[in-house]
Amino acid sequence: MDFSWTEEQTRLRTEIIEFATRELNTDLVERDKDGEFSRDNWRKCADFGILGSSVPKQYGGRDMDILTAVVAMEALGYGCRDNGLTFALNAQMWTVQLPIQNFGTEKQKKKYLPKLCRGEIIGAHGITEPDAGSDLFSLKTIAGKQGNEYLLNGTKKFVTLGPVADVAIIFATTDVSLGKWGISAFLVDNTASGYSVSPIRQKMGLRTVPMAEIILDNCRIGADCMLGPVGAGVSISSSSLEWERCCILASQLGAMERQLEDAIQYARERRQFNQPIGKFQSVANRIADMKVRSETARLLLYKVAWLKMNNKPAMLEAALSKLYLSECFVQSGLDALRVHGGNGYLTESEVERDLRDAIGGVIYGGTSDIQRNIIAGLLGL
Amino acid sequence: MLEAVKQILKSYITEELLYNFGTVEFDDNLLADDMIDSIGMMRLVGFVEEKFELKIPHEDLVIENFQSISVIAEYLAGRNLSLPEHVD
Ligand SMILES: Cc1cc2nc3c(=O)[nH]c(=O)nc-3n(C[C@H](O)[C@H](O)[C@H](O)COP(=O)(O)OP(=O)(O)OC[C@H]3O[C@@H](n4cnc5c(N)ncnc54)[C@H](O)[C@@H]3O)c2cc1C
Repeated sequence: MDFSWTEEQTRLRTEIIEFATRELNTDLVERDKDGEFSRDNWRKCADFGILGSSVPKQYGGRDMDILTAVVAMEALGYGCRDNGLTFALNAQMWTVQLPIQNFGTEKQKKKYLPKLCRGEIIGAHGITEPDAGSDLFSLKTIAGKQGNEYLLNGTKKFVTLGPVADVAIIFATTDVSLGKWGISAFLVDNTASGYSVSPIRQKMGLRTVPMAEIILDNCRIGADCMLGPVGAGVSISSSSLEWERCCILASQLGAMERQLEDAIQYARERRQFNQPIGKFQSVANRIADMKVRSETARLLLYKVAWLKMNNKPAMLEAALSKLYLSECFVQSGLDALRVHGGNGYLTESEVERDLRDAIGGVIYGGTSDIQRNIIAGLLGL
Repeated sequence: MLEAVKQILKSYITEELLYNFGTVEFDDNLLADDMIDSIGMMRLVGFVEEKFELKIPHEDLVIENFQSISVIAEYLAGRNLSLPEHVD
Protein backbone atom coordinates (compact mmCIF):
# COMPACT_ATOMS: atom_id res chain seq x y z
CA MET A 1 0.00 0.00 0.00
CA ASP A 2 1.48 3.32 -1.05
CA PHE A 3 0.00 6.44 0.49
CA SER A 4 2.52 8.89 -0.95
CA TRP A 5 1.79 11.46 -3.65
CA THR A 6 4.02 11.90 -6.68
CA GLU A 7 6.31 14.93 -6.86
CA GLU A 8 4.00 16.44 -9.43
CA GLN A 9 0.93 15.98 -7.22
CA THR A 10 2.77 17.50 -4.25
CA ARG A 11 3.77 20.48 -6.37
CA LEU A 12 0.20 20.91 -7.58
CA ARG A 13 -1.03 20.85 -3.99
CA THR A 14 1.43 23.57 -2.93
CA GLU A 15 0.60 25.74 -5.95
CA ILE A 16 -3.15 25.53 -5.36
CA ILE A 17 -2.85 26.31 -1.66
CA GLU A 18 -0.70 29.36 -2.44
CA PHE A 19 -3.07 30.51 -5.16
CA ALA A 20 -6.21 30.04 -3.06
CA THR A 21 -4.77 31.64 0.07
CA ARG A 22 -3.55 34.64 -1.92
CA GLU A 23 -6.51 35.17 -4.24
CA LEU A 24 -9.77 33.77 -2.89
CA ASN A 25 -10.19 34.81 0.74
CA THR A 26 -10.76 38.56 0.60
CA ASP A 27 -13.96 40.24 1.90
CA LEU A 28 -15.38 36.87 2.78
CA VAL A 29 -17.28 37.89 5.91
CA GLU A 30 -19.02 40.64 3.94
CA ARG A 31 -19.69 38.49 0.89
CA ASP A 32 -21.11 35.74 3.07
CA LYS A 33 -23.36 38.24 4.84
CA ASP A 34 -24.60 39.68 1.55
CA GLY A 35 -24.85 36.32 -0.19
CA GLU A 36 -22.60 37.63 -2.93
CA PHE A 37 -21.19 35.38 -5.64
CA SER A 38 -17.76 36.45 -6.89
CA ARG A 39 -17.48 36.06 -10.63
CA ASP A 40 -13.95 37.43 -10.36
CA ASN A 41 -12.88 34.56 -8.14
CA TRP A 42 -14.70 32.11 -10.41
CA ARG A 43 -12.64 33.41 -13.35
CA LYS A 44 -9.43 33.27 -11.34
CA CYS A 45 -10.10 29.59 -10.60
CA ALA A 46 -10.84 28.99 -14.27
CA ASP A 47 -7.63 30.76 -15.31
CA PHE A 48 -5.67 28.72 -12.81
CA GLY A 49 -7.06 25.58 -14.43
CA ILE A 50 -9.24 24.34 -11.57
CA LEU A 51 -12.44 24.03 -13.61
CA GLY A 52 -10.71 22.11 -16.39
CA SER A 53 -8.93 19.70 -14.01
CA SER A 54 -10.38 16.47 -15.32
CA VAL A 55 -11.58 17.61 -18.74
CA PRO A 56 -9.65 16.12 -21.69
CA LYS A 57 -7.03 18.43 -23.18
CA GLN A 58 -8.77 18.73 -26.55
CA TYR A 59 -11.70 20.45 -24.80
CA GLY A 60 -9.53 22.87 -22.88
CA GLY A 61 -8.85 20.85 -19.74
CA ARG A 62 -5.89 19.31 -17.94
CA ASP A 63 -6.97 15.67 -18.16
CA MET A 64 -6.20 14.82 -14.53
CA ASP A 65 -6.89 11.37 -13.16
CA ILE A 66 -9.22 11.08 -10.18
CA LEU A 67 -6.47 10.82 -7.55
CA THR A 68 -4.82 13.99 -8.81
CA ALA A 69 -8.19 15.73 -8.95
CA VAL A 70 -8.73 14.74 -5.31
CA VAL A 71 -5.34 16.24 -4.41
CA ALA A 72 -6.30 19.43 -6.25
CA MET A 73 -9.75 19.79 -4.69
CA GLU A 74 -8.46 18.97 -1.21
CA ALA A 75 -5.79 21.64 -1.60
CA LEU A 76 -8.44 24.10 -2.78
CA GLY A 77 -10.63 23.33 0.24
CA TYR A 78 -7.64 23.89 2.50
CA GLY A 79 -6.48 27.15 0.98
CA CYS A 80 -9.85 28.67 0.09
CA ARG A 81 -11.96 29.63 3.10
CA ASP A 82 -14.92 30.29 0.82
CA ASN A 83 -16.66 26.91 1.05
CA GLY A 84 -19.47 28.25 -1.15
CA LEU A 85 -17.03 28.81 -3.99
CA THR A 86 -15.37 25.39 -3.68
CA PHE A 87 -18.80 23.76 -3.52
CA ALA A 88 -19.98 25.62 -6.62
CA LEU A 89 -16.82 24.77 -8.58
CA ASN A 90 -17.24 21.12 -7.67
CA ALA A 91 -20.93 21.24 -8.60
CA GLN A 92 -20.14 22.46 -12.09
CA MET A 93 -17.16 20.15 -12.57
CA TRP A 94 -18.82 16.89 -11.54
CA THR A 95 -22.52 17.39 -12.19
CA VAL A 96 -22.30 19.39 -15.42
CA GLN A 97 -18.94 19.00 -17.14
CA LEU A 98 -18.46 15.31 -16.33
CA PRO A 99 -21.89 14.24 -17.69
CA ILE A 100 -21.17 16.26 -20.85
CA GLN A 101 -17.78 14.56 -21.08
CA ASN A 102 -19.29 11.10 -20.57
CA PHE A 103 -22.48 11.43 -22.61
CA GLY A 104 -22.21 14.47 -24.87
CA THR A 105 -21.99 14.34 -28.63
CA GLU A 106 -18.82 15.77 -30.16
CA LYS A 107 -20.78 18.91 -31.01
CA GLN A 108 -22.07 19.32 -27.45
CA LYS A 109 -18.60 18.77 -25.98
CA LYS A 110 -17.07 21.36 -28.30
CA LYS A 111 -19.88 23.81 -27.67
CA TYR A 112 -19.82 23.71 -23.87
CA LEU A 113 -16.67 22.24 -22.35
CA PRO A 114 -14.03 24.80 -23.44
CA LYS A 115 -16.21 27.72 -22.34
CA LEU A 116 -17.08 26.05 -19.03
CA CYS A 117 -13.39 25.37 -18.36
CA ARG A 118 -12.45 28.97 -19.17
CA GLY A 119 -15.18 30.33 -16.88
CA GLU A 120 -16.87 32.10 -19.80
CA ILE A 121 -20.13 30.32 -19.14
CA ILE A 122 -21.49 28.70 -15.98
CA GLY A 123 -23.39 25.42 -15.78
CA ALA A 124 -25.99 24.08 -13.34
CA HIS A 125 -27.62 20.72 -12.67
CA GLY A 126 -31.38 20.51 -12.23
CA ILE A 127 -32.83 17.24 -11.04
CA THR A 128 -34.50 17.97 -7.67
CA GLU A 129 -38.12 19.14 -7.77
CA PRO A 130 -40.63 20.33 -5.19
CA ASP A 131 -42.04 16.77 -4.94
CA ALA A 132 -38.93 14.82 -5.88
CA GLY A 133 -36.04 15.20 -3.42
CA SER A 134 -34.53 12.01 -2.04
CA ASP A 135 -36.94 10.14 -4.30
CA LEU A 136 -35.35 11.94 -7.21
CA PHE A 137 -36.53 9.65 -9.98
CA SER A 138 -40.15 10.40 -9.14
CA LEU A 139 -39.66 13.73 -10.88
CA LYS A 140 -42.58 15.27 -12.73
CA THR A 141 -40.93 17.52 -15.31
CA ILE A 142 -42.11 16.37 -18.70
CA ALA A 143 -40.33 16.58 -22.02
CA GLY A 144 -42.86 16.16 -24.81
CA LYS A 145 -41.54 15.52 -28.30
CA GLN A 146 -42.93 17.77 -31.02
CA GLY A 147 -41.33 17.07 -34.35
CA ASN A 148 -37.69 17.93 -34.05
CA GLU A 149 -38.13 19.69 -30.72
CA TYR A 150 -38.91 18.97 -27.08
CA LEU A 151 -41.26 21.01 -24.94
CA LEU A 152 -40.19 21.04 -21.29
CA ASN A 153 -42.61 21.72 -18.43
CA GLY A 154 -41.75 21.60 -14.75
CA THR A 155 -39.81 23.23 -11.91
CA LYS A 156 -36.33 22.40 -10.67
CA LYS A 157 -35.63 23.26 -7.05
CA PHE A 158 -32.45 24.03 -5.06
CA VAL A 159 -30.41 24.58 -8.21
CA THR A 160 -26.87 25.54 -7.20
CA LEU A 161 -25.61 28.35 -9.47
CA GLY A 162 -29.13 28.48 -11.00
CA PRO A 163 -29.31 32.31 -10.99
CA VAL A 164 -25.99 32.71 -12.82
CA ALA A 165 -26.06 29.63 -15.04
CA ASP A 166 -25.89 30.00 -18.81
CA VAL A 167 -26.75 26.34 -19.33
CA ALA A 168 -28.44 23.74 -17.15
CA ILE A 169 -28.66 19.97 -17.39
CA ILE A 170 -32.35 19.32 -16.89
CA PHE A 171 -33.75 15.88 -16.12
CA ALA A 172 -37.24 15.25 -17.50
CA THR A 173 -39.49 12.34 -18.36
CA THR A 174 -39.70 11.47 -22.03
CA ASP A 175 -41.82 8.34 -21.48
CA VAL A 176 -44.05 8.25 -18.41
CA SER A 177 -44.91 4.58 -18.94
CA LEU A 178 -41.30 3.55 -18.25
CA GLY A 179 -41.07 5.20 -14.82
CA LYS A 180 -37.52 6.15 -13.91
CA TRP A 181 -36.21 4.43 -17.05
CA GLY A 182 -38.15 6.94 -19.10
CA ILE A 183 -36.16 9.89 -17.72
CA SER A 184 -33.79 11.69 -20.10
CA ALA A 185 -31.42 14.62 -19.68
CA PHE A 186 -31.21 17.82 -21.71
CA LEU A 187 -28.74 20.66 -22.09
CA VAL A 188 -30.89 23.76 -21.82
CA ASP A 189 -29.46 27.23 -22.49
CA ASN A 190 -30.83 30.04 -20.32
CA THR A 191 -31.83 31.85 -23.50
CA ALA A 192 -34.34 29.13 -24.45
CA SER A 193 -37.90 30.41 -24.66
CA GLY A 194 -39.93 29.48 -21.56
CA TYR A 195 -36.84 29.20 -19.31
CA SER A 196 -36.82 31.41 -16.22
CA VAL A 197 -35.21 31.54 -12.80
CA SER A 198 -36.84 32.40 -9.47
CA PRO A 199 -35.42 35.05 -7.14
CA ILE A 200 -32.30 33.89 -5.27
CA ARG A 201 -33.12 31.79 -2.20
CA GLN A 202 -31.55 32.85 1.09
CA LYS A 203 -29.93 29.97 2.93
CA MET A 204 -28.10 28.96 6.08
CA GLY A 205 -24.65 28.31 4.63
CA LEU A 206 -22.69 28.24 1.37
CA ARG A 207 -24.08 31.73 1.00
CA THR A 208 -21.55 32.88 -1.57
CA VAL A 209 -23.06 30.55 -4.17
CA PRO A 210 -26.54 31.53 -5.36
CA MET A 211 -29.35 28.99 -5.45
CA ALA A 212 -32.77 29.23 -7.09
CA GLU A 213 -35.51 27.38 -8.90
CA ILE A 214 -35.45 26.94 -12.65
CA ILE A 215 -38.91 27.17 -14.12
CA LEU A 216 -39.63 25.53 -17.44
CA ASP A 217 -42.87 26.78 -18.88
CA ASN A 218 -43.35 25.41 -22.37
CA CYS A 219 -39.59 25.67 -22.72
CA ARG A 220 -38.78 24.82 -26.33
CA ILE A 221 -35.47 23.21 -27.24
CA GLY A 222 -34.13 21.30 -30.22
CA ALA A 223 -34.05 17.51 -30.07
CA ASP A 224 -30.27 17.77 -30.43
CA CYS A 225 -30.15 19.24 -26.89
CA MET A 226 -30.71 15.79 -25.45
CA LEU A 227 -27.68 14.59 -23.49
CA GLY A 228 -26.98 10.91 -24.04
CA PRO A 229 -29.52 8.41 -25.32
CA VAL A 230 -33.26 8.57 -24.66
CA GLY A 231 -33.95 7.16 -21.18
CA ALA A 232 -30.36 7.54 -19.95
CA GLY A 233 -31.32 9.89 -17.08
CA VAL A 234 -30.69 7.32 -14.34
CA SER A 235 -27.37 6.35 -15.85
CA ILE A 236 -26.28 9.98 -16.31
CA SER A 237 -27.17 10.88 -12.78
CA SER A 238 -25.40 7.87 -11.27
CA SER A 239 -22.36 7.90 -13.56
CA SER A 240 -20.83 11.01 -12.06
CA LEU A 241 -21.72 10.24 -8.44
CA GLU A 242 -18.45 8.62 -7.47
CA TRP A 243 -16.33 11.45 -8.90
CA GLU A 244 -18.70 14.01 -7.45
CA ARG A 245 -18.58 12.45 -4.01
CA CYS A 246 -14.78 12.09 -4.08
CA CYS A 247 -14.04 15.62 -5.11
CA ILE A 248 -16.68 17.61 -3.21
CA LEU A 249 -15.69 15.65 -0.14
CA ALA A 250 -12.01 16.26 -0.86
CA SER A 251 -12.64 20.00 -0.56
CA GLN A 252 -14.47 19.41 2.72
CA LEU A 253 -11.53 17.35 3.92
CA GLY A 254 -9.17 20.20 3.05
CA ALA A 255 -11.40 22.57 5.02
CA MET A 256 -11.37 20.18 7.99
CA GLU A 257 -7.56 20.15 7.92
CA ARG A 258 -7.44 23.95 7.98
CA GLN A 259 -10.04 24.02 10.75
CA LEU A 260 -7.96 21.60 12.81
CA GLU A 261 -4.82 23.72 12.42
CA ASP A 262 -6.73 26.87 13.41
CA ALA A 263 -8.17 25.11 16.46
CA ILE A 264 -4.73 23.88 17.56
CA GLN A 265 -3.25 27.35 17.19
CA TYR A 266 -6.09 28.94 19.14
CA ALA A 267 -5.87 26.34 21.92
CA ARG A 268 -2.15 27.06 22.26
CA GLU A 269 -2.54 30.85 22.33
CA ARG A 270 -5.71 31.43 24.32
CA ARG A 271 -5.01 31.38 28.06
CA GLN A 272 -7.45 30.86 30.93
CA PHE A 273 -6.64 29.98 34.53
CA ASN A 274 -3.02 30.96 33.73
CA GLN A 275 -2.48 28.33 31.10
CA PRO A 276 -3.22 27.65 27.44
CA ILE A 277 -6.71 26.19 27.10
CA GLY A 278 -5.14 23.30 25.12
CA LYS A 279 -3.75 22.05 28.43
CA PHE A 280 -7.31 21.32 29.61
CA GLN A 281 -8.10 17.76 28.72
CA SER A 282 -11.65 18.58 27.62
CA VAL A 283 -10.34 21.00 25.00
CA ALA A 284 -7.45 18.74 23.92
CA ASN A 285 -9.79 15.75 23.58
CA ARG A 286 -12.03 17.70 21.27
CA ILE A 287 -9.06 18.52 19.07
CA ALA A 288 -7.86 14.91 19.19
CA ASP A 289 -11.31 13.84 18.00
CA MET A 290 -11.10 16.33 15.14
CA LYS A 291 -7.79 14.77 14.12
CA VAL A 292 -9.20 11.22 14.28
CA ARG A 293 -12.11 12.31 12.10
CA SER A 294 -9.98 13.92 9.42
CA GLU A 295 -7.54 11.00 9.25
CA THR A 296 -10.22 8.30 9.09
CA ALA A 297 -12.31 10.28 6.61
CA ARG A 298 -9.21 10.72 4.46
CA LEU A 299 -8.61 6.96 4.30
CA LEU A 300 -12.18 6.31 3.15
CA LEU A 301 -12.01 9.07 0.57
CA TYR A 302 -8.67 8.01 -0.89
CA LYS A 303 -9.93 4.44 -1.12
CA VAL A 304 -12.83 5.55 -3.33
CA ALA A 305 -10.44 7.52 -5.54
CA TRP A 306 -8.04 4.58 -5.71
CA LEU A 307 -10.85 2.17 -6.65
CA LYS A 308 -12.03 4.49 -9.43
CA MET A 309 -8.43 4.99 -10.58
CA ASN A 310 -8.21 1.21 -10.98
CA ASN A 311 -11.55 1.00 -12.77
CA LYS A 312 -13.24 -0.84 -9.94
CA PRO A 313 -16.80 -0.20 -8.76
CA ALA A 314 -16.95 2.05 -5.71
CA MET A 315 -20.67 2.54 -5.03
CA LEU A 316 -20.44 1.21 -1.50
CA GLU A 317 -17.23 3.02 -0.62
CA ALA A 318 -18.53 6.28 -2.13
CA ALA A 319 -21.65 6.09 0.04
CA LEU A 320 -19.57 5.26 3.14
CA SER A 321 -17.31 8.19 2.40
CA LYS A 322 -20.14 10.66 1.71
CA LEU A 323 -21.96 9.68 4.89
CA TYR A 324 -18.90 9.69 7.12
CA LEU A 325 -17.01 12.69 5.83
CA SER A 326 -19.96 15.05 5.63
CA GLU A 327 -21.07 14.14 9.15
CA CYS A 328 -17.47 14.54 10.38
CA PHE A 329 -17.30 18.02 8.87
CA VAL A 330 -20.41 19.05 10.83
CA GLN A 331 -19.12 17.51 14.05
CA SER A 332 -15.66 19.02 13.69
CA GLY A 333 -17.21 22.40 12.85
CA LEU A 334 -19.07 22.24 16.14
CA ASP A 335 -15.93 21.15 18.02
CA ALA A 336 -13.88 23.95 16.44
CA LEU A 337 -16.53 26.41 17.57
CA ARG A 338 -16.48 25.05 21.13
CA VAL A 339 -12.68 25.33 21.22
CA HIS A 340 -12.96 29.00 20.23
CA GLY A 341 -15.67 29.70 22.83
CA GLY A 342 -17.56 32.99 22.43
CA ASN A 343 -15.04 34.25 19.90
CA GLY A 344 -15.93 31.36 17.61
CA TYR A 345 -19.59 32.34 17.85
CA LEU A 346 -18.82 35.75 16.37
CA THR A 347 -19.17 35.91 12.61
CA GLU A 348 -15.96 37.90 12.25
CA SER A 349 -13.96 34.93 13.63
CA GLU A 350 -14.87 32.96 10.47
CA VAL A 351 -15.27 29.86 12.64
CA GLU A 352 -19.06 29.68 12.75
CA ARG A 353 -19.27 30.00 8.96
CA ASP A 354 -17.54 26.65 8.44
CA LEU A 355 -20.20 25.02 10.62
CA ARG A 356 -23.04 26.63 8.69
CA ASP A 357 -21.40 25.64 5.42
CA ALA A 358 -20.94 22.04 6.58
CA ILE A 359 -24.65 21.40 7.16
CA GLY A 360 -25.48 21.45 3.46
CA GLY A 361 -23.12 18.49 3.02
CA VAL A 362 -25.37 16.11 4.92
CA ILE A 363 -28.27 17.02 2.60
CA TYR A 364 -27.07 17.57 -0.97
CA GLY A 365 -26.01 14.69 -3.22
CA GLY A 366 -28.21 12.32 -1.17
CA THR A 367 -28.87 12.89 2.54
CA SER A 368 -27.07 10.89 5.22
CA ASP A 369 -30.20 8.75 5.61
CA ILE A 370 -30.12 7.94 1.91
CA GLN A 371 -26.43 7.04 2.11
CA ARG A 372 -27.28 4.60 4.90
CA ASN A 373 -30.01 3.13 2.71
CA ILE A 374 -27.53 2.69 -0.14
CA ILE A 375 -24.97 1.08 2.15
CA ALA A 376 -27.59 -1.28 3.57
CA GLY A 377 -28.87 -2.09 0.08
CA LEU A 378 -25.38 -2.84 -1.20
CA LEU A 379 -24.77 -5.06 1.80
CA GLY A 380 -27.70 -7.12 0.60
CA LEU A 381 -30.37 -5.85 3.00
CA MET B 1 -24.12 -20.03 -24.39
CA LEU B 2 -27.05 -17.60 -24.26
CA GLU B 3 -28.90 -20.12 -22.10
CA ALA B 4 -25.98 -20.34 -19.67
CA VAL B 5 -25.80 -16.57 -19.35
CA LYS B 6 -29.54 -16.39 -18.68
CA GLN B 7 -29.26 -19.01 -15.96
CA ILE B 8 -26.40 -17.16 -14.28
CA LEU B 9 -28.39 -13.92 -14.32
CA LYS B 10 -31.53 -15.65 -13.07
CA SER B 11 -29.73 -17.21 -10.11
CA TYR B 12 -28.06 -13.93 -9.16
CA ILE B 13 -31.29 -11.93 -9.37
CA THR B 14 -33.33 -14.51 -7.48
CA GLU B 15 -30.82 -15.03 -4.70
CA GLU B 16 -29.17 -11.65 -4.34
CA LEU B 17 -31.74 -9.11 -5.46
CA LEU B 18 -35.02 -10.82 -4.60
CA TYR B 19 -33.61 -12.68 -1.58
CA ASN B 20 -35.39 -15.82 -2.77
CA PHE B 21 -38.70 -14.13 -1.93
CA GLY B 22 -39.92 -14.22 -5.50
CA THR B 23 -39.24 -15.85 -8.79
CA VAL B 24 -38.18 -14.27 -12.01
CA GLU B 25 -38.63 -15.64 -15.51
CA PHE B 26 -36.37 -14.90 -18.46
CA ASP B 27 -38.85 -12.50 -20.05
CA ASP B 28 -40.19 -10.79 -16.90
CA ASN B 29 -39.87 -7.02 -16.91
CA LEU B 30 -37.21 -6.37 -14.27
CA LEU B 31 -37.71 -2.64 -14.20
CA ALA B 32 -41.50 -2.46 -14.02
CA ASP B 33 -42.96 -1.72 -10.58
CA ASP B 34 -39.43 -1.44 -9.24
CA MET B 35 -38.89 -5.21 -9.16
CA ILE B 36 -35.24 -4.16 -9.21
CA ASP B 37 -34.62 -0.66 -7.86
CA SER B 38 -31.72 1.58 -8.89
CA ILE B 39 -29.39 0.19 -6.22
CA GLY B 40 -30.32 -3.32 -7.35
CA MET B 41 -29.55 -2.29 -10.91
CA MET B 42 -26.12 -1.00 -9.88
CA ARG B 43 -25.45 -4.29 -8.10
CA LEU B 44 -26.56 -6.22 -11.17
CA VAL B 45 -24.27 -4.18 -13.41
CA GLY B 46 -21.38 -4.71 -10.98
CA PHE B 47 -22.08 -8.43 -10.96
CA VAL B 48 -22.25 -8.69 -14.76
CA GLU B 49 -19.01 -6.71 -15.16
CA GLU B 50 -17.17 -8.90 -12.70
CA LYS B 51 -18.61 -12.24 -13.79
CA PHE B 52 -18.21 -11.71 -17.52
CA GLU B 53 -15.08 -9.59 -17.28
CA LEU B 54 -16.30 -6.64 -19.30
CA LYS B 55 -17.11 -2.98 -18.77
CA ILE B 56 -20.64 -1.75 -19.41
CA PRO B 57 -20.40 1.80 -20.76
CA HIS B 58 -22.65 4.34 -19.02
CA GLU B 59 -24.60 5.04 -22.20
CA ASP B 60 -25.57 1.36 -22.49
CA LEU B 61 -27.35 1.44 -19.15
CA VAL B 62 -30.80 2.03 -20.64
CA ILE B 63 -34.02 0.04 -20.54
CA GLU B 64 -33.46 -1.36 -24.06
CA ASN B 65 -30.50 -3.35 -22.72
CA PHE B 66 -31.70 -4.23 -19.23
CA GLN B 67 -35.44 -4.77 -19.32
CA SER B 68 -35.38 -8.53 -18.82
CA ILE B 69 -32.95 -11.40 -18.38
CA SER B 70 -33.35 -12.35 -22.06
CA VAL B 71 -32.67 -8.77 -23.14
CA ILE B 72 -29.55 -8.52 -20.98
CA ALA B 73 -28.29 -11.83 -22.37
CA GLU B 74 -28.87 -10.59 -25.94
CA TYR B 75 -27.07 -7.36 -25.12
CA LEU B 76 -24.12 -9.29 -23.71
CA ALA B 77 -24.08 -11.56 -26.75
CA GLY B 78 -23.92 -8.41 -28.90
CA ARG B 79 -20.82 -7.42 -26.98
CA ASN B 80 -19.16 -10.60 -28.29
CA LEU B 81 -19.21 -12.07 -24.87
CA SER B 82 -17.24 -15.24 -24.45
CA LEU B 83 -17.80 -16.93 -21.15
CA PRO B 84 -14.69 -16.87 -18.98
CA GLU B 85 -13.32 -20.35 -18.33
CA HIS B 86 -14.39 -20.51 -14.73
CA VAL B 87 -18.03 -19.87 -15.67
CA ASP B 88 -19.97 -22.93 -16.65
C1 LIG C 1 -26.71 23.16 -0.51
C2 LIG C 1 -27.55 22.35 -1.42
C3 LIG C 1 -27.28 22.34 -2.78
C4 LIG C 1 -28.09 21.61 -3.66
N1 LIG C 1 -27.83 21.68 -5.00
C5 LIG C 1 -28.65 21.04 -5.86
C6 LIG C 1 -28.45 21.17 -7.28
O1 LIG C 1 -27.54 21.86 -7.74
N2 LIG C 1 -29.31 20.51 -8.11
C7 LIG C 1 -30.32 19.74 -7.64
O2 LIG C 1 -31.04 19.17 -8.46
N3 LIG C 1 -30.54 19.60 -6.31
C8 LIG C 1 -29.74 20.23 -5.42
N4 LIG C 1 -29.95 20.13 -4.05
C9 LIG C 1 -31.09 19.35 -3.59
C10 LIG C 1 -30.69 18.10 -2.83
O3 LIG C 1 -30.15 17.13 -3.66
C11 LIG C 1 -31.92 17.64 -2.04
O4 LIG C 1 -32.14 18.60 -1.04
C12 LIG C 1 -31.74 16.27 -1.42
O5 LIG C 1 -31.72 15.28 -2.40
C13 LIG C 1 -32.84 15.94 -0.41
O6 LIG C 1 -34.10 16.17 -0.92
P1 LIG C 1 -35.17 17.05 -0.10
O7 LIG C 1 -34.46 18.30 0.32
O8 LIG C 1 -36.37 17.20 -0.92
O9 LIG C 1 -35.47 16.24 1.20
P2 LIG C 1 -36.53 15.04 1.39
O10 LIG C 1 -36.27 14.01 0.37
O11 LIG C 1 -37.89 15.60 1.50
O12 LIG C 1 -36.07 14.48 2.80
C14 LIG C 1 -36.52 15.01 4.05
C15 LIG C 1 -36.00 14.08 5.16
O13 LIG C 1 -36.53 12.76 4.97
C16 LIG C 1 -35.47 11.81 4.90
N5 LIG C 1 -35.80 10.76 3.94
C17 LIG C 1 -36.40 10.87 2.73
N6 LIG C 1 -36.51 9.68 2.13
C18 LIG C 1 -35.97 8.77 2.98
C19 LIG C 1 -35.75 7.36 2.95
N7 LIG C 1 -36.12 6.62 1.89
N8 LIG C 1 -35.15 6.77 4.01
C20 LIG C 1 -34.77 7.49 5.07
N9 LIG C 1 -34.93 8.83 5.18
C21 LIG C 1 -35.52 9.45 4.14
C22 LIG C 1 -34.26 12.63 4.43
O14 LIG C 1 -33.03 12.01 4.79
C23 LIG C 1 -34.48 13.94 5.15
O15 LIG C 1 -34.01 13.84 6.45
C24 LIG C 1 -29.16 20.85 -3.16
C25 LIG C 1 -29.43 20.85 -1.78
C26 LIG C 1 -28.64 21.59 -0.92
C27 LIG C 1 -28.95 21.57 0.54
